[in-house]
Formats: sequence, structure tokens, C-alpha cells
Amino acid sequence: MLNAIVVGAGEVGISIAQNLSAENHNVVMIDHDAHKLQQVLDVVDVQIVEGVGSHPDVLEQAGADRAHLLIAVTQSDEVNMIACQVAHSLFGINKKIARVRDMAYLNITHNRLYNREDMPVDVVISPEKEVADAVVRAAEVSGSFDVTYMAGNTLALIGLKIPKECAYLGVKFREVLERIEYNFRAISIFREDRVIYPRGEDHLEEGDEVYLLCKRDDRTAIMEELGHQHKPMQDVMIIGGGHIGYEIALQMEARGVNLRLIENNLERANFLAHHLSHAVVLYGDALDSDLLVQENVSAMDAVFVMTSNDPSNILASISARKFGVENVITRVASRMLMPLADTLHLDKVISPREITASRILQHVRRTKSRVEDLHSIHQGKLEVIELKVTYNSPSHGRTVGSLGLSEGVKVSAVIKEDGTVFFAEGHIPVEEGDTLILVTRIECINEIELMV
Amino acid sequence: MHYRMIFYVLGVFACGFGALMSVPAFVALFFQEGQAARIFLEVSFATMVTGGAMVIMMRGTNKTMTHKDAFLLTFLTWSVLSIIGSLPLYFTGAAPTFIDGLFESVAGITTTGASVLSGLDSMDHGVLLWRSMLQWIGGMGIIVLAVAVLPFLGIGGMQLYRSEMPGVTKDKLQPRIKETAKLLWIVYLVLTILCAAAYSVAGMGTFDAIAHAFTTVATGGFSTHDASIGHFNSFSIEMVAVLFMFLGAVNFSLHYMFLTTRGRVVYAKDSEFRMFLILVISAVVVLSLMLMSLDVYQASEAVRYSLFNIMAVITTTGYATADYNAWPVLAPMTMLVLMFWGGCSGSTAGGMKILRIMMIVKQSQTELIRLLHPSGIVRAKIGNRTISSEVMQAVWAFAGLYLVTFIVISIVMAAYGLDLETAFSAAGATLTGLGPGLGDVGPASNYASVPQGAKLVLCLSMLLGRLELLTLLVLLMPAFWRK
Repeated sequence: MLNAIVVGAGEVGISIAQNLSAENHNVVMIDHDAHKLQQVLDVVDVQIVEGVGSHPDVLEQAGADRAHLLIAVTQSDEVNMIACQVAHSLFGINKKIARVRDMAYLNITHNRLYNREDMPVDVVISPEKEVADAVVRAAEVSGSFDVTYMAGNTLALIGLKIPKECAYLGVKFREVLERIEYNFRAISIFREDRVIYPRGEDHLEEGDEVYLLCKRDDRTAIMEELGHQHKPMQDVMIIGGGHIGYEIALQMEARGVNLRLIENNLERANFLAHHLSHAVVLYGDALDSDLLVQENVSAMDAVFVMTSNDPSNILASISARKFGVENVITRVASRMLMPLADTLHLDKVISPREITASRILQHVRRTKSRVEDLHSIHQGKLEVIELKVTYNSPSHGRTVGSLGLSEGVKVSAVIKEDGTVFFAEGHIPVEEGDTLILVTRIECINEIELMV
Repeated sequence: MHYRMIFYVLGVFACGFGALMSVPAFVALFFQEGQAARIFLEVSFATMVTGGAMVIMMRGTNKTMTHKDAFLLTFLTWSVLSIIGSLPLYFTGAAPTFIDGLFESVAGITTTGASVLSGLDSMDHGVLLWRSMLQWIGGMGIIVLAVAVLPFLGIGGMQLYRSEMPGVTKDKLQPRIKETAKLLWIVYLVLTILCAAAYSVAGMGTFDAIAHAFTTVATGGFSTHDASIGHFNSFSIEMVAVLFMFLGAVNFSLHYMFLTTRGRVVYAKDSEFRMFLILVISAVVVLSLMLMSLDVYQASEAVRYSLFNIMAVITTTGYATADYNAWPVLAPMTMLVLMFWGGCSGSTAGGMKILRIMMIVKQSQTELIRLLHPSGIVRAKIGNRTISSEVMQAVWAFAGLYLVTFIVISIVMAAYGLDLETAFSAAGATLTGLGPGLGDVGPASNYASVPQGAKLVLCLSMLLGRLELLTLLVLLMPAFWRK
């Protein structure tokens, strides 16, 4: 059980607190907005302290001398950094994680700033960078809205919506697995607000949100089997040239993609034009359909809508879909608008809050266990965990079927030391040195340490 | 409204409450009171069966709890458990009518301590213990207990906790509400054990020591004797009672901090605590001087009686060692004022709570300063913290409602034919949780003579006072019941 201090009761802070509290950690939350804190109490079982999170007396009041972990996620980079500094210098808190947004602080060449002697931030999380990476990963695999690579980049965890072109609608999973020549596991289905672990007799329906685990090299082939034609990215449009849009643009340029970038702030557009080499920077409004027609949006392989304004992102995405673009990725920050995006058939919605919270939790869990990697999926309802089996793990020397796991936890894959991947079946043995990929309901997460 | 969930939780509460009821049954067996034991066991069994049936019927409900659910559940918990608690009192014949039983039970669980029973000295031990237990359970709060013990009241637990815990701000002592509730009960339990031990050392029998410890720390006031603590006529017992009434009326988070910081001086730093102490001391000084100068008592006796009775009143316990009703009129007048002040917030005491009164006084002070310095920026402060305007508004609203409730209940009492003094003091003593009032319901007599209908109104008054009005009054809003 960790004592954690979360500075900043914004959406990310609350998400993290919810997760930590669900795992039986003690959380104290600091914010300067008393009203916000009172609302926090309605949704999370945490203690609250009102004040500025970088002030020593406030941290002391929050029990910093007993804390193991500090997560600073206020709106201000500077407050986050100073909070880590104070936590380190005055209270000796072991692990300090800070969210830092401004790219000027994140320049690779200046990274040596973050070390124990100078600016003691153990993990710097940049939501913009994380979101940009996630967008690029998802864009590469046509039809997916979430792609992560696990087990040393050998496995791909892919989230996708089942399209109506899918040839396996209504076919039992047992048969689907037989008919597709590539090996994979469907690890979860999100249907009608419920998460199901698919079994042999379950089947796919149109509109299901499915996560599957496969070898990295098989990913496009399997997606094609499931009805998502692969289209290599040649022409891409980015709407919104903020931090995220700019970061994506840089990554796309590095791949030699033809890029158009729409930005509605003249000054920012000038900045972008100055800093990007090939991209065509357009000064205008994404909701202006004349502009979209002129720039031939319907010929784009992908459109990324990344402004900081949720409603206009949703509208711009709908209009891009109207023009016939299949691969539209939409940034939606607000938790409230998420269900709305879903009903409007925006399949690929990316939430900075979820991504940031998931990344931070990843680092929290790594501090104390054999967990190598971890991803929240289905709005944080499930966690996919990569875990190393050691000599004294309870699972060492048993088989997948005999681990005695509850309903909420499933083993998805076993990766042997030599790199051979076995998609889990009951008889597969588990030994020291293996890497396991597990999926768990959030409320069962503590079981994993005990049983595996 | 999630009725299934509400009834599920209520069923669980009933089971636990039924189980607790077996304690007086075994005590009655020990004292060879066969009939009382049988009745307690029967009611206990019936309660657990009913509660169990509710749990089984409502099982599988989701555990989400909204604010509204929390208010309704709190109200239902307190009223249903009051009714269940009254059954053994009625069936054993201790209370002559069902309404009397209910009144006694509500007075117990709300730690008011207003009684309708007489002949306590010859009453079954089972019944006496049950009265004391009711006060003890109600003292720290049924729901706080439930939150501490039951695993499934997570977030909803906080909602419930806030609807039951007295005071202005409801701080968590620990990151988890369950841990907070557990700590409060541990502190409470420790105080109770110390109190029982101290009584026993001071010369009380074991049964009396335990029964009185329950009602002292809970600032409840039920005794096992008609003459209350006065029965023992022992200076040392009175001083034990004074000490533990005082501790029960201090904010429990201070006790907790005192224990966890190994005796750092947390009390002296707390401005509410200091004010409480100053109030008690000055009231004792004034009253004993008055009693001496009017030759009611001699010096030592005057201090002894005024200290005990003032402590019994300001902590809203309601024990008695003397009939202060018969003292010169300044005495009952002081008592009437003191009971409205009550103890500290976050304690087991009733009344309006000293912190609220302090805030009102401070706020009024700033208004006066503002008259002197029209362009001054003046902030009301407690300690060195500014009172936020939201908290201040809530305190004013509470004070207004408290006054209105007091007046309305007084008028209803007068309508039932009680005389002026009795009507006002009965309303005040039930609302503040003191118990004995003045006039016909004074410390030397009790509520038996109050008309039956008026007793029901006073039951409501006690519940309103214990749950600090808002939790119950919100149920009267039509908007509460709208979808």
C-alpha cells in the first residue's frame, strides 16, 4: 500500500486518484480550488488538502513525510516541477512524477536537467507527446483507434471497431480463430456499456469495440481479415496546430508523408510554417467546408483533428467523415463529451486525459512490482499488464490453466525467454523468465501480484 | 433514487442492530431475568430474519449512491432503528405504551436522554443496558459505525458520513473514509473503556460503571437510577463523569491527533477547544458565585454542583445531581442558554456547536469593525483561517433554521397544553439533545406527563437535532422527490 500525493484535481488528477484508490493505496489530493476539491470527494475516496501544491507547508499538511509517491499534474509546469523539488529536498519522497506541457522544457538536448541533483523529477510526462505518439501509432494500422506495442515491441495490442464489412459477423470465435490463418487473441469486447471476455462460443457484432493481441508483424493482415482494408498513409491532413498537432506533423514529416495542416491562429500558423519543412500550413477554420473542398480533403488517407476545442473537433471530424475520409482521429478531452462522440460514430477518439493517466499509472506500478508495462483500455475498465515471471513467482512451474485466477483476470499470452509467443491455452507451462500478458478488471488488479 | 440499494443497506443495518440486541439478552440471562431475556432474543431474532430477508431480496443491486440516496438512507436508518430499538422496551413492559417506548428509544439513540420511564432502580438489567447501549451506538453515529465495518460503502460512505456527522466541516482524518470512521470508533471505544474503569475505581458497581460509561462518553445522559448520578452522592464519581462528558464533547479529531502525535499539545492550538474551556470555566465561576452569595450552598458544594450540572448541560448529556430548576432563576436561565451552545463540532455532544456560535460572533464583530472603517477589508477568522463566505452562509442558514425549528416545536408544545417554561424547554432540550428541560420536564421529573401526540413531535425534534436539521429537512423539499 502506497501513500500517494496527487497535486492538481483536474481530470487527469482525478483519473489517477480513482485508480490508485481502487487499488487500496492511500491518496491525498491537493488543489488550490476548494470547490473543485469538494466535488472530488463525491467521486473518489481520498483525503483533500486545500492550497498550492508546491508550498512546503501544504505538502507537509498532506503528509509528505510519510508519502512514497508524488504526482504533480496541475495546469502549471512550474508548479509541478517545484512540487517535485520540494518533495525531494524537504520530504525525501522517493518517486516524483510531473506533467510538463511546454515543449521548451522537453527538448531532448536539455534532458539532463531532470536528475536527482538538479531538478529531481523521476518521470516527466508530456501529455502532448504521449497523445501525438498514440495518434501516430493508431494511424499506421488502418481501422484501429488504439495501438500499443508490448513485450519488447514484438506484440501489438490493437483496439478496433468491428465494421459492417467484417466477414465474421455472428461467427463463433472458435471458428474465427480457425479460419484466420494468423494467430491472435481477442482479449475483450465492449458492447452495450459492458465489457466481456470473449469465449469460444461468443461472436462478433457490428460496432463492437474489440481489443486484440497479435504479433506485431501480423497486425495489418489480421485487420484486413476483420474488414479494415490497409491503406498506407500518403496524404494526411492535420487540423489544429497546437502542441499535439505540431508534434504529429514532425513525426509525419519524418516519414515523408504529404502533409496539410490547418491552423486558425495566424501567429501560430506563421510559427508552424517557419518550423516545418515540407508541410503545407493553411491559415483558416476547419469548419469552413470551402477550405476543405479546395484542399481536397476527400482524397486524404487520414485526417487528425487535434485542436484544443472539443466541440469543434467533433464537428470537424463529422464533416471529414462526410467527405468520405475513413481514417479520422479525433481528440476529445472532456469526459462528458466521450459518449456523445460515440453516438456520432466517431470511431477513433483519443483522450489526452486517459492517455496521460494511463502513462502515469504505468510508472507508479513499475515502482513496486514485476510489472513491466501496463495499459488501460475501455476507458480504464480493464488493464492489460505485462509481467515478468521470476523464480519465486507463485506461477513459476505451473500451467496457465492451473493458476487459480478469478473470473476478472485472464492470461492472454506467454512469451518464452527465446522470444517464442504462445497465445494462452490452459496447458501452456509458465516458468521463470517468461513474460506474461494478462488482462484484468480494474477491481482484480491486486490479485495479480498474489497469484501470478 | 436507488430504492433497492437503500433497502439492501437498511437490511444489513437491521441485521447488525439485531445482533447487538442479543447483548442485553445475555446480560438479562446473567441476572436471571428470564422474561426480559426471552423478549430481547425474540426481537433480536425477528430483526435479523427481517433484515436478512431484505438483504436476500435486494441482493445484486448496484452500489452507486447519490446525495439523495444518502439523505434518505440516513433518515430511514435512524427512524427504523429507533422503532426496532423501542420494541423490547415496549414488550418487556418497561414502557407503558408503544409511543412511550418509541420516545425512550429515540431519546436513547439520538443521545438526548429525555426519559419517560421511572422506577429505574428496580428495572430489569437487560432493559437498562439496552437503553445505555442505544445511546452508545447513536453517540458516534450508526452510519459512522457502518462505514467503519462494512466493506461495500466506499464513495457512498462519504456521502452518508457527511449526512450524519455533526459540525461545520467534515474533515477526513485519513485518506480513506473507512479508516477515518474506524479511527473515530476506536477513539470512542478507548474513551468508553477508560471511563468505565474510572467509574469502577471511583466506586461504582461493574454493571453501573459500564452502563454509565456508555452514556457518559456518548453525552447521552441515561442513568440506571431515577436520581441519575445524584444517586451515588459521590464526589469522585461526579468528577469522573465531568471529565468524560467533557472529553466526549471535544472534537474527536483532536483526540485522534493527540493519540497519534504522542501527546503533542494539539488541544491548546484549537480555538474551538479553547473557547469551550473558557465557557465552561466562566459559567462555573459565575454560577458558583451566585449560589454562594444567595446562600444556596456553601463554597465547596457550590463549585461541585455547578461544575457537574454545567458540564452535564453544556455537553448536552443531561445527567443531574441537583434540581437546578429550584435554584434561583439565573441558574435555569444559564442552563437554557448553555444547552444551545452545545459541545465542539465533530464530538458526540448536541446543541448548535461552539464553532458555529464562534463564527456567528466573529462575523458580527467584522460587521461592527466595518462600521468604523467603511473602506476596510475585514475578514472573520477562526484561529488564523478566514471563514469562507460559503461556510458562513451555511452557518447562518443553520442558525436561522435552528431558531425556526425551536420556535415551531415550542408552539406545538404550547398547543398541547404545556406551560410556557415547559413548552420552551422541552423543545430546546430535545432539539439540542440535552434531555431534561425545565418546569414539568425538569431534572427532578421527566417526560412521562407530556401528552402522547406531543411525545411524537418531540421524537421528531430529537432526530432533527441529532442529524443537525438539514439532513432531514431536505426530505421535505418537493424537489427532493422529483425525478
